[in-house]
Amino acid sequence: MDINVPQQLVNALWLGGLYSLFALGYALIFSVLGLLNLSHSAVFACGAFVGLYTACGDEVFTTTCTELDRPIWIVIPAAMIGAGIVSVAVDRVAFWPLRKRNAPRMNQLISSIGAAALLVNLLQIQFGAAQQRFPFGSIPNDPVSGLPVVITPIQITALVIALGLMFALRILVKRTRLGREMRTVAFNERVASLLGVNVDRTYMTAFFIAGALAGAAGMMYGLAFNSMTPFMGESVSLKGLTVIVLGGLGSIEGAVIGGFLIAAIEVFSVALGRSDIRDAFVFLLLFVILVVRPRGLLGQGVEDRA
Amino acid sequence: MKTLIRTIVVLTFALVAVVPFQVQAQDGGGMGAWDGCPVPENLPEEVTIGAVFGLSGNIAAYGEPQKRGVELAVAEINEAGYLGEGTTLIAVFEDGGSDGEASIAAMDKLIAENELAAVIGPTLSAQAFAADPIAAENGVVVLGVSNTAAGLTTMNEDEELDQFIFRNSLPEANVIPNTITKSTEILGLERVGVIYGNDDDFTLSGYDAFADALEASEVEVVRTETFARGDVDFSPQLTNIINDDPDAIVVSALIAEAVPVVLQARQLGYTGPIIGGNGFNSPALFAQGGEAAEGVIVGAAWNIGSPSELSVTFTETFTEAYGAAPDQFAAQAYTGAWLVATAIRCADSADSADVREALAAIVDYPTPLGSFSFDETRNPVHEPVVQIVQEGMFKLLTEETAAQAFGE
Amino acid sequence: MTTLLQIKELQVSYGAIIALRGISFEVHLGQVVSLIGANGAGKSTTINTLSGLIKPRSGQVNFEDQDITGWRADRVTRRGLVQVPEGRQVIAPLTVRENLEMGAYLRRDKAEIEQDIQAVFDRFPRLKERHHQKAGSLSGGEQQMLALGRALVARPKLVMLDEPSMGLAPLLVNEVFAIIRSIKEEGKTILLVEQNARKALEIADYAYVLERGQIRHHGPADELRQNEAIIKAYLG
Ligand SMILES: Nc1ncnc2c1ncn2[C@@H]1O[C@H](COP(=O)(O)OP(=O)(O)OP(=O)(O)O)[C@@H](O)[C@H]1O
Ligand SMILES: [Mg+2]
Repeated sequence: MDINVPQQLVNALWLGGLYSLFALGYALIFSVLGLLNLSHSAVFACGAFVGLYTACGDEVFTTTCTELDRPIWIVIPAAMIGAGIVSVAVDRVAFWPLRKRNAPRMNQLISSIGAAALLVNLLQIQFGAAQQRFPFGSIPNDPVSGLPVVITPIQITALVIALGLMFALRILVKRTRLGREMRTVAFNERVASLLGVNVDRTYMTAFFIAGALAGAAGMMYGLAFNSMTPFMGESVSLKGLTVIVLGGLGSIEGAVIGGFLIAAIEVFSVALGRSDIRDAFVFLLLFVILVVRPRGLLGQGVEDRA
Repeated sequence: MKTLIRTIVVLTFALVAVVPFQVQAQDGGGMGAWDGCPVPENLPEEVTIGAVFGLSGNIAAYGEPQKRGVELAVAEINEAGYLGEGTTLIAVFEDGGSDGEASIAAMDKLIAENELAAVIGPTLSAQAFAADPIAAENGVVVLGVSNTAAGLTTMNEDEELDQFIFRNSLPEANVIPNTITKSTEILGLERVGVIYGNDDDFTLSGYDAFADALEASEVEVVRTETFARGDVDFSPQLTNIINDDPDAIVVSALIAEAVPVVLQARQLGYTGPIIGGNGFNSPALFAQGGEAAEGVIVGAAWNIGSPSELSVTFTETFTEAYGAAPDQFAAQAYTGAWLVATAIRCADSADSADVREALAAIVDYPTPLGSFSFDETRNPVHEPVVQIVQEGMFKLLTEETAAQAFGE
Repeated sequence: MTTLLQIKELQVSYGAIIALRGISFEVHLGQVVSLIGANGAGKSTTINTLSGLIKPRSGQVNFEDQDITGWRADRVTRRGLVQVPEGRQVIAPLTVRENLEMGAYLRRDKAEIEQDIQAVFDRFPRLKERHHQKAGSLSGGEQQMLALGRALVARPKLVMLDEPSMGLAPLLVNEVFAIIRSIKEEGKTILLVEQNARKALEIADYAYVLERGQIRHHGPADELRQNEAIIKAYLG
């Protein structure tokens, strides 16, 4: 059986970029809060819809987008800001009240599931359940010519932006005052506040950044497949979880490596002719890694997150 | 309020619009001119039929055209005095929602509140599996006009109950072989790649039907790929298939996956035919697939381009009445209402048991779907059509349209 | 003498447990004031209430004549009251250098921060050698140095030390007190909480003895060292 290896590599690469970008937000929140924010996938969808609304205007509330009011590229910053704000709102509504009362982690987890359901429902009420898309021809998704493989400008953009944001996040967390602040809060809120850190504000900042990353991923996803539904987060939600468990909960490099690894496994299990057991490959790998390295590939234990 | 006004306007328009058709029906002997039975004499002043369609939410995209189809047929039937002078056919619509529970509730309500000669619906196969037994247990005949799942009319333990369950919508298993034979004949297919959803009853049974049909037509399957529900990226599978340079890609998918499969295949540079199952039979294919949908081939029970006289007339009347062209759902619902009316007429009774007998006896009845009969398991028998997407709409697949699409 | 910190009738309870039963004391500018007491006397509770980690039930905390009762911890720190918490609590996943940088979290004067960090390194050469190491991998003594250094980099008006000698070997205890003394000699104001009364009274100007949430004795450290009751209970 023939395999078109270069093309499959392209397929894996850009999909990996999306997975990683999405998983980064999960990882960031995990590293700061020490818990999974299961509303992340809903924020992902919110980002895509904010972008859609920004580019298309009120039209999207009633029908589908037939004409762009603004240039297509505005959708990415719009989605990032919009999803960032939504994410902060999720923190204030779903996490903050529980945090104040020192509620058990499990309650916060459940609360985040509730927030996800709420957000998806709100999207559904606003935009309807049907698929939304950008007008034909408005997205540069004709393959770049002159290459031996098929890759579209939007895929290249997605990959470049994903890599850029990952790099930026790494610098931010490892090298800046804000990064030290977030890592300190992650380690111990009390100590952080004794050093003068406004812990609530740190949380909001972390949620904003995580939301913006989810929004960027959601928008790129929406653009690349030119399809957005309120439920679009569902399919990546589990992938994102797998990615961060694989990479090591809360590890930024782990999320990136995990994202590309899972995309590669998915694509190449299909390429090798086993599309029927693709997900089995992914979960087998996950299982093996959890048995051999319970902390994930790059996980470094709880005291050493972020 | 706005919708109410719109409904009134449309209905008025519908009533006015059917008049010219009426004349034609009497002259040319269109629908209803089945000379199987004489004009009935013993019918009451009003005969009521029920209809359970999904009229709210997402599913209204199917339920709304179905309702219009039935309304149009009922208006025509009454205008023509098809059930005898002094007898009026009344259709009571109930919203069956989008799940089984809602259609059970709708069916219960219809049966409790009306003396029914028959029920048409529900919209989805899953709803039919849930709600049809209720009608059967109450001795009311139920005619599905859009259910395509296998085994629908033989779903009950008790064969007596099955006798009340009919459908006029061709099951996939009947449509697909025809699609493959016609496509093979017209496009000269020799080797194809297949992709299907392997975790869904509908797409699985579609795949089986395709596989059998391809084997029967001696077409080689060079590669088979699968995907799961909710997948959005099909590039790896399609890259594989396209790499094998097939004459066509055969797809068994629901519309949610069908559209991205088509989009991504085109994006990967594939320009050849894509042959789909019933899941492709949706306006969403054009709305969301756009140019990529050009050259997609789909089997169906009915197509707007069908040249038969009854079909053309139906399309014209419907378009005039509602300001929008009918789809397959409308055509099947319209035909369904006429079938039920014909059974009532032949039975000369509004009693559902008598109507059931008469319905089962219908043979070679001319309809927009073609010459129509029920087989012994109350499934429809009529010739399906094969369509190809061209310029953003379904056209019949012919040597001509194929040549335009694939430039031979 | 300027009163830097003034505590009036402070009452704190954890649910039904009353931890502080209305204590009052003062810290003057440039002084080392020690708060001594047995386990569970309420020393940490006092210091944590001053830091804003615990809200008092009643009473008042004045700092530089400003009422800061009930302020959030980060605001208290911003105001210049910096705590070195019990058990050191260095930020384990951050490097030594990053810990010091976190100490200067509220400061923006980059150049001077760097000077202060270098000053800490000069004071604690062992930290300098390990500046790139994760703080969690330091020894207990080194962690205490780091915790002290981190507080100094904040340029506090008042440093509050919660049992800086706890859990350290005798030799290290001496070293820690030597450092506190040197900090004192630079003119810093210190509130020193200790169980090691002997050491604390050696270094302090003034001391308060806390017993079950109440101040039992207080006076200049020299006087308390002569006090029979205290010798019996704490220095014996
Ligand atoms: N979080 C808490 N919940 C309930 N009771 C507490 C809490 N923290 C302290 N206490 C109680 O308050 C009292 C004072 O405790 P605190 O920690 O202030 O004592 P301490 O003088 O610092 O003792 P040690 O020398 O052991 O550190 C003790 O009886 C203690 O059990
Ligand atoms: Mg203590």
